[in-house]
Amino acid sequence: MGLHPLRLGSGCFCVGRLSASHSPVLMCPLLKATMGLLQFQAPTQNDTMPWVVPTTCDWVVKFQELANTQPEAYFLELPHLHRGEKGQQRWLEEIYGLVRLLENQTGRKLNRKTLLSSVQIFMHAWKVFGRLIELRRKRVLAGVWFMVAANSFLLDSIEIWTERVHQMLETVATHPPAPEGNGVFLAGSPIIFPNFKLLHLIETAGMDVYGDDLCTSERIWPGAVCYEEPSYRGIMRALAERYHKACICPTFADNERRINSILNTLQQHHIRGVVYHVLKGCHPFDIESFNLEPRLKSRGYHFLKIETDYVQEDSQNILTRLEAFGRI
Amino acid sequence: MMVTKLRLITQHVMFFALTYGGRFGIRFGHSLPCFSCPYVSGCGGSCYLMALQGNWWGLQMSTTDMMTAMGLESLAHLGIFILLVILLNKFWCGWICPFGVVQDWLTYLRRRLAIHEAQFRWLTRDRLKTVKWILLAYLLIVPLLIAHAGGHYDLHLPFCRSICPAKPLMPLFVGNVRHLALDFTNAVTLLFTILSVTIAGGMLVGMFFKERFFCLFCPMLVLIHIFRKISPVRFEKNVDGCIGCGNCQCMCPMDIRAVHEQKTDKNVLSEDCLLCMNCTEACPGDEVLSIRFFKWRLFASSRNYVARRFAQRQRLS
Amino acid sequence: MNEIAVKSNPRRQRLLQRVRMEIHAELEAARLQLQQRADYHPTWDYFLNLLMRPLAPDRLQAEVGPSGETFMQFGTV
Repeated sequence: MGLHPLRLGSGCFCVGRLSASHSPVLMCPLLKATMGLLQFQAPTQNDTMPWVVPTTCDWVVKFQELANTQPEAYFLELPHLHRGEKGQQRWLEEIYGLVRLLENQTGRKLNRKTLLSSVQIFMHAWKVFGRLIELRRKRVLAGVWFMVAANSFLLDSIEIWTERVHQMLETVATHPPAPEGNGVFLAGSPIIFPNFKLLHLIETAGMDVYGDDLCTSERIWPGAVCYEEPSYRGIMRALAERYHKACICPTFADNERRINSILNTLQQHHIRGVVYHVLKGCHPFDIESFNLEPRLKSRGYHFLKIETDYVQEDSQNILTRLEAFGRI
Repeated sequence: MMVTKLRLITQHVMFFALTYGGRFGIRFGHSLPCFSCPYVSGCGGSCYLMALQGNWWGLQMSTTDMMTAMGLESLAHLGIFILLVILLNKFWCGWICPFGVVQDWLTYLRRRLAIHEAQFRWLTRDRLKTVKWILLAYLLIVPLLIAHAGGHYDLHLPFCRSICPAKPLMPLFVGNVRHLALDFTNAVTLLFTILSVTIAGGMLVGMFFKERFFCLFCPMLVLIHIFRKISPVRFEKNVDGCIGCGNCQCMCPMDIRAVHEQKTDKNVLSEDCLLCMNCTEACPGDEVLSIRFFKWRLFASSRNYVARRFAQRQRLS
Repeated sequence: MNEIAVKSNPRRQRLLQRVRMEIHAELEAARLQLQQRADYHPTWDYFLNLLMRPLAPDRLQAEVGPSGETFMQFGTV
């Protein structure tokens, strides 16, 4: 439709201060920062630009109320059961609703052809992204750089982004892999630039991230859409299912497959330790860590849960814990 | 080569061999576990359902005939059928069945016209599963009634003559339209032919709007399924590797949810599975879904394959 | 800081200006930290610039992307 999505999530600490006085103390720092950032919005120019919020967690649901932004947010109501027929049906209806909104905004019609070509563009991006993940697993690409590439997804036209990642891969692929070291798996709440505190600390502690399941990194999108039906409704259905059913965010009630995804990576790449990052106030990830920890430990993996936010003051404390973890 | 292409080639070769093969001396016998209809003159082999219901080698045989060489012959046919089923199991459905190919043609046509596929509610889909068991019971019981309980002889071959849409439709490929006519001989024949033509018409519409619509009701599928445990054909899932993306369910022509939902048992060859391997081709988990034959792995899912296959496919569309 | 909600408040304007500079400093520091790594390569600049851009103060205004199309903002959190 000639539109590009732009991600809003922010990892900026300073800006969070702008919203500190009129938001709950224990609010998720990511949303606090995003909310602060919206203070910079120039209302006159953006009146017609909608911003779309999938209701993934309670903070997001109440975000509009707290931030009081103009224009009002358009909520995509996310069914929290994604394995059943009802949830999938409802999500598809939400997606059709979104299409109507965008069509009204632009005055253009979404059609089968543009959907198909966009699916193809994303398939290509997914292929390139797969190679990026491979290089990281082979230790050619440092965890921090992987995060830089993944974080910038959807901040530019997807084709250009893919092209640039491809170019970068050509350069990096010639580099020798880093010596076998202490690889860890990073799970939990999202990490967003510029708040790479935890990544830098993990490196300082003599470890590197070989894999992760963060929704701003490896899990930034669940992969390309496979469809059987090339009709408009067929592709829409495949699209909706792909982004709903395949998502393993802890916000879902029936999310037992997340552990599989983590265990798989751990087994295939001989990673022994999991660092679990919880942003203070990020309840879904916090809750799920209690289920994940015993299951990982029972299989002989080491587990370290780190609860922090965007402040730098606790860095030394975290570093000490990470160093101790690295020695195991 | 892509599995899809290989399957398409196999399906078409088998369609021509089984529909026209007889004219070139190809004869695969009377025990084929697929809908290669014997009503097609010059066919290359016959569906076993006819032999099973008939009075020559099947259930309608009288007790005295059973004691003769015919009894042994019927056992031989049954033996060959079981052997073929064990050997290739559901590959008969997804890769060989000529009636399946016809259904795939209709689906291809519908997709070219970009008409959306009809969707069943999950509950409806589950309820439909029982229909093929009822049809199987029907085709087993009626011949027994004719042979031993004095059933009218015109009820013979009950499934072929009253239900099976292959009987009126498949002979059309050799220019035979006789099976579309009504038979006014008596009430039974009239009822049978009306049923047959009506079902065939309904099925045609159904098969156009729903992929492999007839397979939802196919009693052969049940017969093949019974032998899955002793077959060397295995369809397995590494349940710990599945991240639940749901591609398998999305791609399945039979809307099977079991592969996606299975969390404990590695054997995922379910009752309705046709082994078309659509799901395995679309599964992005490395070696999460795999098709085995004895100890050999015929094909396993992989992320790279998915990316390659679908990029290609989208270029085509 | 409750008056922050009042749009035409001059104190708010000053505050916004100050925070704007702080954000800039924070982003620059993060970028510099990455650029000073031994494994840094200039091809990374494209990604770093992207990460800097949407966090810049004017990021919520409609932008014309490199492909000549309008960007639309979406919140995905």
